[in-house]
Amino acid sequence: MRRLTAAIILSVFLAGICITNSIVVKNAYKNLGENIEICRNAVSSAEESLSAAQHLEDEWVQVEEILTAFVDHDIVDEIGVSIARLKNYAGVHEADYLAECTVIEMKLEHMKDNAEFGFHSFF
Amino acid sequence: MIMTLIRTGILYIFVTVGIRIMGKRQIGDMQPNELVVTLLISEIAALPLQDTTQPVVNGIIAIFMLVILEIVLSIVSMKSFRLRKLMSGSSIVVIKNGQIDQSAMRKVRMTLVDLIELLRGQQVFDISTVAFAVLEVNGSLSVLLKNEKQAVTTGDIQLETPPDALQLPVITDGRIIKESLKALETDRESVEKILSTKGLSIPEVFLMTLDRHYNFNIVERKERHV
Repeated sequence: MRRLTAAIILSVFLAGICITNSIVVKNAYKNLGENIEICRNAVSSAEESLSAAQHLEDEWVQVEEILTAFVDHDIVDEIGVSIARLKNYAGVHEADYLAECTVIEMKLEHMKDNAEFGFHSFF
Repeated sequence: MIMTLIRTGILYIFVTVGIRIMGKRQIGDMQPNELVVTLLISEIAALPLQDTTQPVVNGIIAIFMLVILEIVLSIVSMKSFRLRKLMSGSSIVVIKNGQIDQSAMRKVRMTLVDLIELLRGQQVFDISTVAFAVLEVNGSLSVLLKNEKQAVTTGDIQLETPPDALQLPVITDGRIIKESLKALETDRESVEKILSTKGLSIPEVFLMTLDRHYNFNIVERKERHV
Protein backbone atom coordinates (compact mmCIF):
# COMPACT_ATOMS: atom_id res chain seq x y z
CA MET A 1 0.00 0.00 0.00
CA ARG A 2 2.87 2.35 0.83
CA ARG A 3 4.50 1.61 -2.50
CA LEU A 4 1.23 2.29 -4.31
CA THR A 5 0.96 5.61 -2.48
CA ALA A 6 4.54 6.42 -3.49
CA ALA A 7 3.69 5.53 -7.11
CA ILE A 8 0.65 7.81 -7.05
CA ILE A 9 2.68 10.69 -5.57
CA LEU A 10 5.38 10.16 -8.19
CA SER A 11 2.76 10.08 -10.96
CA VAL A 12 1.35 13.41 -9.79
CA PHE A 13 4.88 14.84 -9.60
CA LEU A 14 5.66 13.65 -13.15
CA ALA A 15 2.35 14.93 -14.50
CA GLY A 16 3.16 18.31 -12.92
CA ILE A 17 6.58 18.43 -14.58
CA CYS A 18 5.15 17.42 -17.97
CA ILE A 19 2.34 19.99 -17.83
CA THR A 20 4.76 22.74 -16.72
CA ASN A 21 7.13 21.78 -19.53
CA SER A 22 4.35 21.97 -22.09
CA ILE A 23 3.06 25.33 -20.82
CA VAL A 24 6.53 26.91 -20.59
CA VAL A 25 7.55 25.81 -24.10
CA LYS A 26 4.20 26.76 -25.69
CA ASN A 27 4.20 30.21 -24.07
CA ALA A 28 7.80 30.84 -25.10
CA TYR A 29 6.99 29.73 -28.66
CA LYS A 30 3.93 31.98 -28.82
CA ASN A 31 5.56 35.12 -27.34
CA LEU A 32 8.80 34.81 -29.29
CA GLY A 33 6.90 33.91 -32.47
CA GLU A 34 4.87 37.12 -32.19
CA ASN A 35 8.06 39.13 -31.67
CA ILE A 36 9.67 37.56 -34.73
CA GLU A 37 6.66 38.59 -36.77
CA ILE A 38 7.11 42.17 -35.51
CA CYS A 39 10.82 41.99 -36.46
CA ARG A 40 9.89 40.80 -39.94
CA ASN A 41 7.39 43.62 -40.46
CA ALA A 42 9.95 46.19 -39.30
CA VAL A 43 12.62 45.16 -41.79
CA SER A 44 12.26 48.24 -44.01
CA SER A 45 13.16 50.69 -41.23
CA ALA A 46 16.61 50.44 -39.64
CA GLU A 47 15.48 52.01 -36.39
CA GLU A 48 12.33 49.92 -36.08
CA SER A 49 14.10 46.67 -36.94
CA LEU A 50 16.79 47.32 -34.32
CA SER A 51 14.14 48.16 -31.73
CA ALA A 52 12.15 45.02 -32.62
CA ALA A 53 15.30 42.86 -32.39
CA GLN A 54 16.14 44.43 -29.04
CA HIS A 55 12.62 43.69 -27.80
CA LEU A 56 12.96 40.10 -28.99
CA GLU A 57 16.25 39.77 -27.12
CA ASP A 58 14.70 41.17 -23.93
CA GLU A 59 11.85 38.70 -24.25
CA TRP A 60 14.36 35.89 -24.80
CA VAL A 61 16.40 36.78 -21.70
CA GLN A 62 13.24 36.44 -19.63
CA VAL A 63 12.35 32.93 -20.85
CA GLU A 64 15.84 31.50 -21.45
CA GLU A 65 16.51 30.47 -17.86
CA ILE A 66 13.29 28.55 -17.38
CA LEU A 67 13.61 26.94 -20.81
CA THR A 68 17.01 25.44 -19.92
CA ALA A 69 15.27 23.40 -17.21
CA PHE A 70 13.19 21.56 -19.81
CA VAL A 71 14.78 21.96 -23.24
CA ASP A 72 18.07 20.60 -24.57
CA HIS A 73 20.66 23.27 -23.74
CA ASP A 74 22.10 23.08 -27.28
CA ILE A 75 18.80 24.25 -28.80
CA VAL A 76 18.50 27.06 -26.22
CA ASP A 77 22.07 28.19 -26.98
CA GLU A 78 21.44 28.11 -30.75
CA ILE A 79 18.33 30.29 -30.42
CA GLY A 80 20.23 32.72 -28.18
CA VAL A 81 23.06 33.02 -30.72
CA SER A 82 20.58 33.54 -33.60
CA ILE A 83 18.81 36.33 -31.70
CA ALA A 84 22.15 38.04 -31.01
CA ARG A 85 23.01 37.74 -34.71
CA LEU A 86 19.62 39.19 -35.69
CA LYS A 87 20.38 42.32 -33.69
CA ASN A 88 23.63 42.83 -35.62
CA TYR A 89 21.90 42.41 -38.98
CA ALA A 90 19.16 44.96 -38.11
CA GLY A 91 19.28 47.96 -40.46
CA VAL A 92 22.48 46.65 -42.13
CA HIS A 93 21.75 43.42 -44.03
CA GLU A 94 18.05 43.11 -44.79
CA ALA A 95 18.28 39.70 -46.47
CA ASP A 96 20.37 38.21 -43.65
CA TYR A 97 18.01 39.80 -41.12
CA LEU A 98 14.99 38.10 -42.70
CA ALA A 99 16.85 34.82 -43.06
CA GLU A 100 17.80 34.92 -39.37
CA CYS A 101 14.14 35.54 -38.46
CA THR A 102 13.22 32.36 -40.34
CA VAL A 103 16.06 30.42 -38.66
CA ILE A 104 14.89 31.49 -35.19
CA GLU A 105 11.33 30.61 -36.09
CA MET A 106 12.34 27.14 -37.27
CA LYS A 107 14.42 26.52 -34.14
CA LEU A 108 11.49 27.56 -31.97
CA GLU A 109 9.26 25.24 -34.00
CA HIS A 110 11.74 22.41 -33.46
CA MET A 111 11.80 23.12 -29.73
CA LYS A 112 8.01 23.11 -29.56
CA ASP A 113 7.73 19.89 -31.60
CA ASN A 114 10.08 18.10 -29.19
CA ALA A 115 7.97 19.11 -26.21
CA GLU A 116 4.65 18.36 -27.88
CA PHE A 117 2.74 15.11 -27.81
CA GLY A 118 2.89 13.93 -31.42
CA PHE A 119 3.64 10.97 -33.66
CA HIS A 120 7.06 12.33 -34.72
CA SER A 121 8.19 12.57 -31.06
CA PHE A 122 7.75 8.85 -30.42
CA PHE A 123 10.41 7.71 -32.88
CA MET B 1 32.84 21.43 -13.49
CA ILE B 2 30.84 22.64 -10.47
CA MET B 3 27.64 21.97 -12.45
CA THR B 4 28.64 18.33 -12.92
CA LEU B 5 29.11 18.02 -9.16
CA ILE B 6 25.69 19.52 -8.44
CA ARG B 7 23.99 17.45 -11.16
CA THR B 8 25.62 14.29 -9.78
CA GLY B 9 24.32 15.12 -6.30
CA ILE B 10 20.79 15.76 -7.59
CA LEU B 11 20.68 12.56 -9.65
CA TYR B 12 22.20 10.53 -6.79
CA ILE B 13 19.32 11.61 -4.54
CA PHE B 14 16.67 10.83 -7.13
CA VAL B 15 18.16 7.43 -8.08
CA THR B 16 18.43 6.46 -4.40
CA VAL B 17 14.82 7.49 -3.78
CA GLY B 18 13.69 5.56 -6.86
CA ILE B 19 15.55 2.37 -5.94
CA ARG B 20 14.39 2.68 -2.32
CA ILE B 21 10.73 2.95 -3.41
CA MET B 22 11.16 -0.13 -5.61
CA GLY B 23 12.09 -2.13 -2.52
CA LYS B 24 15.06 -4.06 -1.20
CA ARG B 25 16.41 -6.84 -3.39
CA GLN B 26 19.81 -8.30 -4.03
CA ILE B 27 20.82 -8.28 -7.70
CA GLY B 28 20.81 -12.10 -7.67
CA ASP B 29 17.28 -12.28 -6.25
CA MET B 30 15.74 -9.97 -8.83
CA GLN B 31 13.07 -11.05 -11.26
CA PRO B 32 13.98 -10.43 -14.93
CA ASN B 33 11.85 -7.28 -15.20
CA GLU B 34 13.32 -5.86 -11.97
CA LEU B 35 16.82 -6.43 -13.29
CA VAL B 36 15.95 -4.68 -16.57
CA VAL B 37 14.52 -1.68 -14.70
CA THR B 38 17.58 -1.45 -12.42
CA LEU B 39 19.97 -1.56 -15.37
CA LEU B 40 17.91 1.02 -17.26
CA ILE B 41 17.82 3.37 -14.28
CA SER B 42 21.61 3.30 -13.92
CA GLU B 43 22.00 3.88 -17.66
CA ILE B 44 19.49 6.76 -17.76
CA ALA B 45 21.05 8.42 -14.70
CA ALA B 46 24.44 8.38 -16.44
CA LEU B 47 23.16 10.28 -19.51
CA PRO B 48 22.62 13.75 -17.96
CA LEU B 49 25.85 13.29 -15.99
CA GLN B 50 27.93 12.69 -19.11
CA ASP B 51 26.14 15.23 -21.27
CA THR B 52 25.62 18.52 -19.43
CA THR B 53 23.57 19.89 -22.34
CA GLN B 54 20.75 17.52 -21.33
CA PRO B 55 18.34 18.90 -18.73
CA VAL B 56 18.50 16.90 -15.47
CA VAL B 57 14.72 16.81 -15.41
CA ASN B 58 14.75 14.50 -18.48
CA GLY B 59 16.69 11.90 -16.49
CA ILE B 60 14.50 12.32 -13.40
CA ILE B 61 11.29 11.86 -15.40
CA ALA B 62 12.58 8.68 -17.04
CA ILE B 63 13.82 7.23 -13.73
CA PHE B 64 10.56 7.90 -11.91
CA MET B 65 8.50 6.60 -14.82
CA LEU B 66 10.40 3.29 -14.68
CA VAL B 67 9.87 3.13 -10.91
CA ILE B 68 6.12 3.75 -11.35
CA LEU B 69 5.86 1.08 -14.05
CA GLU B 70 7.78 -1.37 -11.88
CA ILE B 71 5.51 -0.74 -8.87
CA VAL B 72 2.31 -0.96 -10.94
CA LEU B 73 3.51 -4.14 -12.64
CA SER B 74 4.48 -5.75 -9.33
CA ILE B 75 1.05 -4.90 -7.86
CA VAL B 76 -0.80 -6.25 -10.91
CA SER B 77 1.39 -9.40 -10.96
CA MET B 78 0.47 -10.07 -7.34
CA LYS B 79 -3.17 -10.22 -8.40
CA SER B 80 -2.69 -12.00 -11.73
CA PHE B 81 -0.97 -15.37 -11.91
CA ARG B 82 -0.88 -15.24 -15.71
CA LEU B 83 0.91 -11.91 -15.80
CA ARG B 84 3.36 -13.08 -13.14
CA LYS B 85 4.15 -16.14 -15.22
CA LEU B 86 4.50 -14.03 -18.35
CA MET B 87 6.81 -11.48 -16.72
CA SER B 88 8.91 -13.73 -14.52
CA GLY B 89 8.50 -17.21 -15.99
CA SER B 90 7.96 -20.19 -13.72
CA SER B 91 10.19 -22.55 -11.79
CA ILE B 92 11.01 -25.90 -13.39
CA VAL B 93 11.88 -29.30 -11.91
CA VAL B 94 15.24 -30.45 -13.29
CA ILE B 95 15.82 -33.53 -11.09
CA LYS B 96 13.10 -36.01 -10.15
CA ASN B 97 13.95 -38.91 -7.83
CA GLY B 98 17.65 -38.65 -8.61
CA GLN B 99 17.03 -38.61 -12.37
CA ILE B 100 17.95 -35.56 -14.40
CA ASP B 101 15.07 -34.33 -16.55
CA GLN B 102 16.96 -33.68 -19.78
CA SER B 103 14.02 -32.15 -21.62
CA ALA B 104 13.53 -29.66 -18.78
CA MET B 105 17.22 -28.79 -18.93
CA ARG B 106 17.00 -28.25 -22.69
CA LYS B 107 13.96 -26.06 -22.14
CA VAL B 108 15.84 -23.76 -19.76
CA ARG B 109 19.08 -24.05 -21.79
CA MET B 110 20.99 -25.35 -18.79
CA THR B 111 24.17 -27.34 -19.18
CA LEU B 112 25.15 -30.28 -17.03
CA VAL B 113 28.12 -28.27 -15.73
CA ASP B 114 25.73 -25.50 -14.61
CA LEU B 115 23.53 -28.02 -12.82
CA ILE B 116 26.42 -29.73 -11.05
CA GLU B 117 27.82 -26.35 -10.04
CA LEU B 118 24.47 -25.26 -8.57
CA LEU B 119 24.12 -28.58 -6.73
CA ARG B 120 27.60 -28.20 -5.25
CA GLY B 121 26.51 -24.74 -4.09
CA GLN B 122 23.75 -26.52 -2.14
CA GLN B 123 26.30 -28.96 -0.63
CA VAL B 124 25.06 -31.79 -2.85
CA PHE B 125 27.83 -33.83 -4.47
CA ASP B 126 25.84 -36.93 -5.47
CA ILE B 127 22.86 -36.48 -7.79
CA SER B 128 21.36 -39.81 -6.70
CA THR B 129 20.73 -38.34 -3.21
CA VAL B 130 18.40 -35.69 -4.65
CA ALA B 131 14.65 -36.29 -4.54
CA PHE B 132 13.78 -33.06 -6.34
CA ALA B 133 15.75 -30.10 -7.65
CA VAL B 134 13.84 -27.04 -8.81
CA LEU B 135 15.36 -24.27 -10.89
CA GLU B 136 13.74 -21.09 -9.57
CA VAL B 137 12.86 -18.08 -11.73
CA ASN B 138 15.75 -16.05 -10.29
CA GLY B 139 18.22 -18.77 -11.42
CA SER B 140 18.84 -20.36 -8.02
CA LEU B 141 18.41 -24.10 -7.42
CA SER B 142 16.26 -25.45 -4.59
CA VAL B 143 17.11 -28.99 -3.57
CA LEU B 144 15.10 -31.55 -1.59
CA LEU B 145 17.18 -34.55 -0.57
CA LYS B 146 15.73 -38.05 -0.42
CA ASN B 147 14.29 -38.90 3.00
CA GLU B 148 17.09 -41.32 3.86
CA LYS B 149 19.72 -38.68 3.03
CA GLN B 150 18.25 -35.82 5.04
CA ALA B 151 19.89 -34.68 8.26
CA VAL B 152 18.21 -35.72 11.48
CA THR B 153 16.40 -32.89 13.25
CA THR B 154 15.69 -32.51 16.97
CA GLY B 155 12.03 -33.05 16.06
CA ASP B 156 12.83 -36.43 14.45
CA ILE B 157 14.44 -37.74 17.66
CA GLN B 158 11.90 -35.94 19.85
CA LEU B 159 14.58 -34.05 21.74
CA GLU B 160 13.44 -31.36 24.19
CA THR B 161 14.87 -27.99 23.21
CA PRO B 162 14.50 -24.55 24.76
CA PRO B 163 11.78 -22.43 23.13
CA ASP B 164 12.81 -20.42 20.10
CA ALA B 165 13.79 -16.86 20.88
CA LEU B 166 15.25 -14.25 18.62
CA GLN B 167 18.14 -12.27 20.05
CA LEU B 168 18.02 -8.62 19.12
CA PRO B 169 20.68 -5.94 19.62
CA VAL B 170 19.47 -3.71 22.47
CA ILE B 171 22.66 -1.65 22.85
CA THR B 172 25.02 -0.73 20.06
CA ASP B 173 27.98 1.53 20.58
CA GLY B 174 26.74 2.67 23.99
CA ARG B 175 23.25 3.55 22.79
CA ILE B 176 19.96 1.87 23.61
CA ILE B 177 17.89 0.76 20.60
CA LYS B 178 14.33 1.59 21.53
CA GLU B 179 12.80 -0.44 18.66
CA SER B 180 14.46 -3.62 19.99
CA LEU B 181 13.21 -2.96 23.54
CA LYS B 182 9.70 -2.52 22.17
CA ALA B 183 9.92 -5.73 20.09
CA LEU B 184 11.17 -7.67 23.16
CA GLU B 185 8.48 -6.07 25.36
CA THR B 186 11.06 -4.92 27.88
CA ASP B 187 12.37 -1.57 29.09
CA ARG B 188 15.52 0.36 29.79
CA GLU B 189 15.42 -0.42 33.53
CA SER B 190 15.50 -4.19 32.88
CA VAL B 191 18.52 -3.78 30.62
CA GLU B 192 20.28 -1.61 33.19
CA LYS B 193 19.53 -4.23 35.87
CA ILE B 194 21.22 -6.93 33.74
CA LEU B 195 24.18 -4.66 33.12
CA SER B 196 24.54 -3.84 36.82
CA THR B 197 25.04 -7.57 37.57
CA LYS B 198 28.12 -7.33 35.33
CA GLY B 199 29.20 -4.02 36.84
CA LEU B 200 28.56 -2.14 33.60
CA SER B 201 26.57 0.88 32.48
CA ILE B 202 25.01 1.52 29.05
CA PRO B 203 27.82 3.77 27.70
CA GLU B 204 30.38 1.07 28.54
CA VAL B 205 28.70 -1.50 26.27
CA PHE B 206 29.72 -1.88 22.63
CA LEU B 207 27.08 -4.51 21.83
CA MET B 208 24.40 -6.21 23.87
CA THR B 209 21.95 -8.73 22.45
CA LEU B 210 18.92 -9.95 24.35
CA ASP B 211 15.99 -12.32 23.83
CA ARG B 212 12.54 -12.64 25.41
CA HIS B 213 13.86 -15.09 27.98
CA TYR B 214 16.51 -12.61 29.08
CA ASN B 215 19.39 -14.61 27.59
CA PHE B 216 22.02 -12.08 26.68
CA ASN B 217 25.46 -11.48 25.24
CA ILE B 218 27.56 -8.45 26.08
CA VAL B 219 30.60 -7.07 24.30
CA GLU B 220 32.33 -4.36 26.35
CA ARG B 221 33.42 -1.15 24.73
CA LYS B 222 37.16 -0.71 24.53
CA GLU B 223 38.73 2.65 25.30
CA ARG B 224 39.88 4.49 22.21
CA HIS B 225 43.62 5.08 22.07
CA VAL B 226 44.34 8.39 20.38
